[in-house]
Amino acid sequence: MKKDIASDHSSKETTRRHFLKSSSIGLGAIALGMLGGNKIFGKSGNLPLRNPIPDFIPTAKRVIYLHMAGSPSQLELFDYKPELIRLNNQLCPASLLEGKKFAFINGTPKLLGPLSNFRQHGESGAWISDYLPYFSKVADEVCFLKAVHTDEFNHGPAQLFLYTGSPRLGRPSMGSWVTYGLGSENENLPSFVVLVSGGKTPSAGKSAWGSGFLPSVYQGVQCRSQGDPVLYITNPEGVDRDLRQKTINTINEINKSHYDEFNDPEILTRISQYEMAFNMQISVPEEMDIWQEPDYIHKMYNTEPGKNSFANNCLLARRMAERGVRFIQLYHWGWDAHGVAKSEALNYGFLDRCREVDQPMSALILDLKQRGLLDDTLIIWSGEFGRTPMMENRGGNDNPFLGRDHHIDAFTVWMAGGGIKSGLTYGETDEIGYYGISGKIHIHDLQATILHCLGLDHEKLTYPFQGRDFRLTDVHGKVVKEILV
Amino acid sequence: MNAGLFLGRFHPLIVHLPIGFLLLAVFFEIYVRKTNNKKLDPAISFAMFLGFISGFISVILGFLISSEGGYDDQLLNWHRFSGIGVSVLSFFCWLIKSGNIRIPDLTYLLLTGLLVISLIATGHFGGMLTHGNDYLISNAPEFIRNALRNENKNPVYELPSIPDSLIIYTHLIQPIFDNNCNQCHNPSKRKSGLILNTFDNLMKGGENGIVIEPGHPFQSELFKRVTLPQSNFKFMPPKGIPLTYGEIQILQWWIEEGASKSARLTSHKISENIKHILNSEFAYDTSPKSFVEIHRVTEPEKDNLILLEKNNFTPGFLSKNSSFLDIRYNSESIEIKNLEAMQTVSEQITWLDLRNSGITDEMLILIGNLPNLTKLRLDGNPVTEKGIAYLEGLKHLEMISLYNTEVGKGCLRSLIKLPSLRKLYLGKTSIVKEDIAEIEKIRTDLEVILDLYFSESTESFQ
Repeated sequence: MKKDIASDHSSKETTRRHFLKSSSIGLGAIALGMLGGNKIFGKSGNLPLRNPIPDFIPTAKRVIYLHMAGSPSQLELFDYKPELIRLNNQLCPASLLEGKKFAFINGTPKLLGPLSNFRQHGESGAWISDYLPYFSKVADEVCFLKAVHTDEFNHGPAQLFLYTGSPRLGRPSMGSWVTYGLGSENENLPSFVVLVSGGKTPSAGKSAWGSGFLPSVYQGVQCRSQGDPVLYITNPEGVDRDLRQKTINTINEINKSHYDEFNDPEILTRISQYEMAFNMQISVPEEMDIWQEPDYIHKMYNTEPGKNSFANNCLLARRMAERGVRFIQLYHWGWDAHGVAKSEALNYGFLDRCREVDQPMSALILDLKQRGLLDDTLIIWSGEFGRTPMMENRGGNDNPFLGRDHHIDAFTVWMAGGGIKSGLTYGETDEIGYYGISGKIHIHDLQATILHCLGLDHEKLTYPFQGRDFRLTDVHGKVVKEILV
Repeated sequence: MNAGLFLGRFHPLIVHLPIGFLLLAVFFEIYVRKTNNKKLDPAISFAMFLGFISGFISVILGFLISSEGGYDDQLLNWHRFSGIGVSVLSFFCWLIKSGNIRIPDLTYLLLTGLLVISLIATGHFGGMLTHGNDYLISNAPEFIRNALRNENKNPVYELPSIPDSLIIYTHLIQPIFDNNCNQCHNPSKRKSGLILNTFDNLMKGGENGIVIEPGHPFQSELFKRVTLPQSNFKFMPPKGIPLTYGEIQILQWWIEEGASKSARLTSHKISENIKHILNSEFAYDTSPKSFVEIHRVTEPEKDNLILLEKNNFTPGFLSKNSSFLDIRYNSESIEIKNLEAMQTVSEQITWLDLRNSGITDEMLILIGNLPNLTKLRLDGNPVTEKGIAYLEGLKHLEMISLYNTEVGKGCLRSLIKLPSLRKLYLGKTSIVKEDIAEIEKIRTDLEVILDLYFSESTESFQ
């Protein structure tokens, strides 16, 4: 019974034409009916279980992904390279540049030693720079992946690659896949929420949380920390909650009779979405109201009243995790430290970014931990790629400020919570942090590992589209078992 | 240069001639008998003759090529036997057809039939020798492959899922002998007096003394024999596939650890190397398993799950292969009757989330009745140590969260009795660091998490 949940939901009334029309999306639509629509199924007694079932016992129930859009330098934060200090300002050997493509580096750049000072922290002795004093205190809670690598060296494609498994538009994002695979834990809230700070949407745009060819109910919902938390969530002037309820009930009744006639599962989706929107009018403002939190929590996260800040979003993320939001995606823009302007220089703007994220992201780990939620919440922190050990020389000339170019071959990602070994440093880069030399992890491996923690087999989580089954990891990806508990 | 081999390698070419000639003769024979056209008889006789001659040459060349070695002995014998059979049968068929000997027609038909069968058999054995056993059927429809597959080829190790019940000798070592050695070292053949069918016979050794020196693999005759260069005439096994790297490593590890009859996987320290081999070669995962991974419960009745839903619970299965339930209460005012809905699936419930449900001390009696509970969240409820005392029987409980509850330090007396407890969350309660000092000393396997905060001295980077 467990294995073919969807099969109960067949109908004798479906016409042949309708079947042909809907069969390409049929299965997914049935699956998504479970996402918010368990009321409908529950009433008929067809589906006593709320959700699709994981492939194996999960170690994490939800994900908080902290994305540093623009990609911070691993060489100033986590990947300590004393050899690079010695080589500072020397010309980069030609052997490192042969056959390489960079976004901006031209000719022969100079090597740039780390600008920060490093120390080992915690019992695990993880190397963390003095740019992140708060984070240093939680070093033993996280697992550092030192040799992650990607295929794309520009922001947009690299972000798409990280979240959809493909550098081109059109594929579903990781959060969509996860909610498609696991369903929702809270029928009054969207199960995939996106929070953006730093004043700019990430380069890949909303496609980074799009649902691609999955039904649109799996799309990430962007919540805002200023104004209406979700656009158009408040009732228009002159419409009160009773009237809104009557309206939605009537629309749903009409939709229900339409469904009885045609049996299109997409109609069930629509009904459930209206129901959820109505519930969200109450639940979202409550959820988004971080001022219900006591003072000491605000102090812990360093939140700023009424502002659209990363700190506020971290606190929101914890509130959402408590309420069962499945995939919480944070973006913080402004890490693209090339050194062409003060705001994006390693010795100026970059430091501001560090100060903006250091305390809240560390507080998030501690706060989840004290509530017992870190055990089943997976936190991932990353950019879309890393930075070069070379100083950027745009157009062949030295940049006015210190900066590094985009680098795909090695960068640091950290993970914490839900089934990940804490206090582990996995993988290693060469003396200057240019290539990974052990424990290399490709983006597809990272995706496979994240799904694995959630109890999903990345090879089985598929969706048929245009004649073949698609996966987040396409035909690649290997679970990094070494970092799992 | 090797003239024999040079000629021998023409064997696969020449063998197609007798197949063609002899089948043609047989088809002519059928044609003659159908149409009664006796004019073809000399042609049949001639084709039989050509078939015999080319078949005879094939046999000679076959002997030459077989000297090259490297073939499965048993298969080669069958091929050789049937090939000679074809040659002999075709000779007699020619003699009969050309009128040199006279026998009853029925006997002739019988011989021809036998000839066709031998021909097909020889061809098939020959094909298996050159292309391998599975060549013909590897692309066949699945039902044919399943019917024909040779199951004995890859030894399958049947290992118990819990490391504690895996006996190294019984489950790992004896199967190595069974798969590689027992063809000769069994009670009927007793090569060199050595029998490898049981632990006791192994330890008795053979004509030349004992073969296993516990603790010293490189002084153990058996281990030396399987690790010699393969060209050495003492190398074991003399024919067939040598032991794999993994099998040799496991054998070495077992001898080093004392070659015990009854030691379990958990009795010895398992090195990374052995872990890796167990994983890759024996598909055995040595990582510690949690309670819910090891134990099985019956699948709950659908009606009972619906009952849970009606009582504001959301039930979910842990995984596709597990009937354990993960359930959460979704409202703020739980009542006894809601909790009673759990009793019908009390065995299956293992993760229970009752955060902010308003559950009280008395109601915890019903929670204490859930025998397989491993994770319990009671955050934000008005429960005290009085209620926690009802949970003392939860012997599988691994995690309990009492964050933001009204428990005092008295609850530690009950919690310390939970043998499986590994994580205990006591933040935002009246319990402070001094209270847990003792429990941390007694229960080093238990992690107690109180309120967490940054030290006052932490400051952002300037």
